[in-house]
Amino acid sequence: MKWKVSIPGPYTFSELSENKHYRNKPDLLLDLARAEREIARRLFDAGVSLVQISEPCLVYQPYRESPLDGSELDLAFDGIRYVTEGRPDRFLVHTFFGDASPVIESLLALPVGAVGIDLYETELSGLHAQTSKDIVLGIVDSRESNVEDSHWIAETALRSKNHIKTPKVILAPNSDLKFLPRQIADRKVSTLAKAASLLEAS
Amino acid sequence: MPKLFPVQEIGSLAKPLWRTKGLRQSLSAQDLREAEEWAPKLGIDDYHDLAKGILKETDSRLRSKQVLELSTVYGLRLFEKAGLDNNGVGGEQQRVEMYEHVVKSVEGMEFLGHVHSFDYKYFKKAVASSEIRRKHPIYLREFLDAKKHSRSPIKVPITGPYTLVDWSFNEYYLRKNQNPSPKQRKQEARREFLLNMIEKVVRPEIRDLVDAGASWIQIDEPAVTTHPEPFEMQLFVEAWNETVRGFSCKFSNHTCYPSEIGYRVLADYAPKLEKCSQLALEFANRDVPRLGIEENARSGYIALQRFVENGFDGEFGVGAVHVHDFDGTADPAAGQVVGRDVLESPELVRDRVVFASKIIGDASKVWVNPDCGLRTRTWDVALSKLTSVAKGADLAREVYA
Repeated sequence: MKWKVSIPGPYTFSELSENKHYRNKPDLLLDLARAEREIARRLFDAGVSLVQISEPCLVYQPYRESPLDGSELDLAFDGIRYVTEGRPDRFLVHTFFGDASPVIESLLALPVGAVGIDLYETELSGLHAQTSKDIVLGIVDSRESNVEDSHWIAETALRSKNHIKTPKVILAPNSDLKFLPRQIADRKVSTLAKAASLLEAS
Repeated sequence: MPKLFPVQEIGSLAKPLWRTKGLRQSLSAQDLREAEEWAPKLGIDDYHDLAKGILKETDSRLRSKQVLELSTVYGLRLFEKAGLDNNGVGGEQQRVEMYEHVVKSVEGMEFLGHVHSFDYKYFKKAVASSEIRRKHPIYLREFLDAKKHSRSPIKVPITGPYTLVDWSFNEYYLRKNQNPSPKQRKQEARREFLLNMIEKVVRPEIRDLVDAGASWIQIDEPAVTTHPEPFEMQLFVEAWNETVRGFSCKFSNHTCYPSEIGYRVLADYAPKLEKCSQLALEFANRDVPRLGIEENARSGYIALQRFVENGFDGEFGVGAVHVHDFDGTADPAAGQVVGRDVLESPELVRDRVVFASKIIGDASKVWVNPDCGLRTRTWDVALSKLTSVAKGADLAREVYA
């Protein structure tokens, strides 16, 4: 059994926190990145295979007064780089609730093993990207009770490879399944598994 | 020249035990104790006859109707006693809760179960499993009871279609849609669900209310500010305009508690809302219980500026008192903290109204109300707060005289 643990990424964590202590945001972000690096280290020592760094704030920004600018993005990516330094393959950066297209190239350039996008927010048809990293497709909607058909999932995953060339596509919900009644969450996990077998068979 | 600063409520009042119990079980004299206690306070002179009728009633459906009607009377009299100019439908006594009450009247929707909404809160979420339409009138009975007993104009609060759709799962319209892009499919299906909700549920309901004499409908849309993205805000505008199209009735919007995002986004889109005569908004919960009307005195009300700058030219229902638990301190002149309630003074309400009026720039556009419905407060606290609101509006009128 392989274990994966998700943690909120340092950028998202700092964005969603009220800063009453640090002189500025970069200081807060760096301290968070330090803490997360240590958390990840201890998780790996305990037998966890993969740590997911969840960074919805990289793609979801309507709460902001002004759009995310280059320097703030750089800071965010520095934070992630700090966390994953030394063992990029043990990490995945996952984004959701927003469109990953504006930052996809930067995400794909991060020292991580895989990058995740939310297909319910990212319009793939406009994308043309290529990467040696794995891509996690947020392909089952965690906010809708409609259980996606496994054939539809497999077809959609195949089609996505026309827009992001990747050695491996990983099927996932776009976000946490806790917002669904339990039986529906279970069915969504099953349908993902069925879709994965369909893809493997093809 | 109409009176400045008319006073209104936003919607709900707490439901007394006899109202909740009386819907499903027969009541004893003991159960009606609270009603008996409040009858003289609210001037319900024929209380004993009404109570006798309910206690003797053996037909449970008739008894339910009597209990519902009586609870509406109590709500109306409480608002009257406080001194409000518009008593709404008497505290929404005939509704379970703003989402469930509507959804159980919609064909094609089923409750799926309790779902995590945020933090530690759960709610009973429904799914659109087939094409939706209204089964029967939703608010009409309550409106007719209010019309029968009210001594003032009536504003009817209804739950808006955007919120009804946002708080529901959308299976039917998603399954129907064949767009291969998951994102487009979701957006198209959401819009179709919303337009159906308007056409098949909300507009027929407004039609019935207007035909029965309703002249003002307040559309509650708490879900709006939870999705500040342009696509969603534009969808809300489209939904609003389609909802109100063609009706000769006053419409107002109540949207509350947008969290850190604030009202900024609503302010940006409000001017696009057609026939939106009033925005009833909350501010008191973000303001300090301290007197003052100088420029930086009332941080909670600064949000009004953006609405005005963006060109919204309708009325504002200004939230002047807090409606939830309070755990701070209040300046003695501004209010009194009693348990978890802050009982705002009329002077505090006055200052809030005067401050808001300066930002809005035209005092004739200002209505005064509590931040939101009062259903989480006891009747004593609700009456005290509303009385302060009415007295505070009086004091504000003196300032402008």
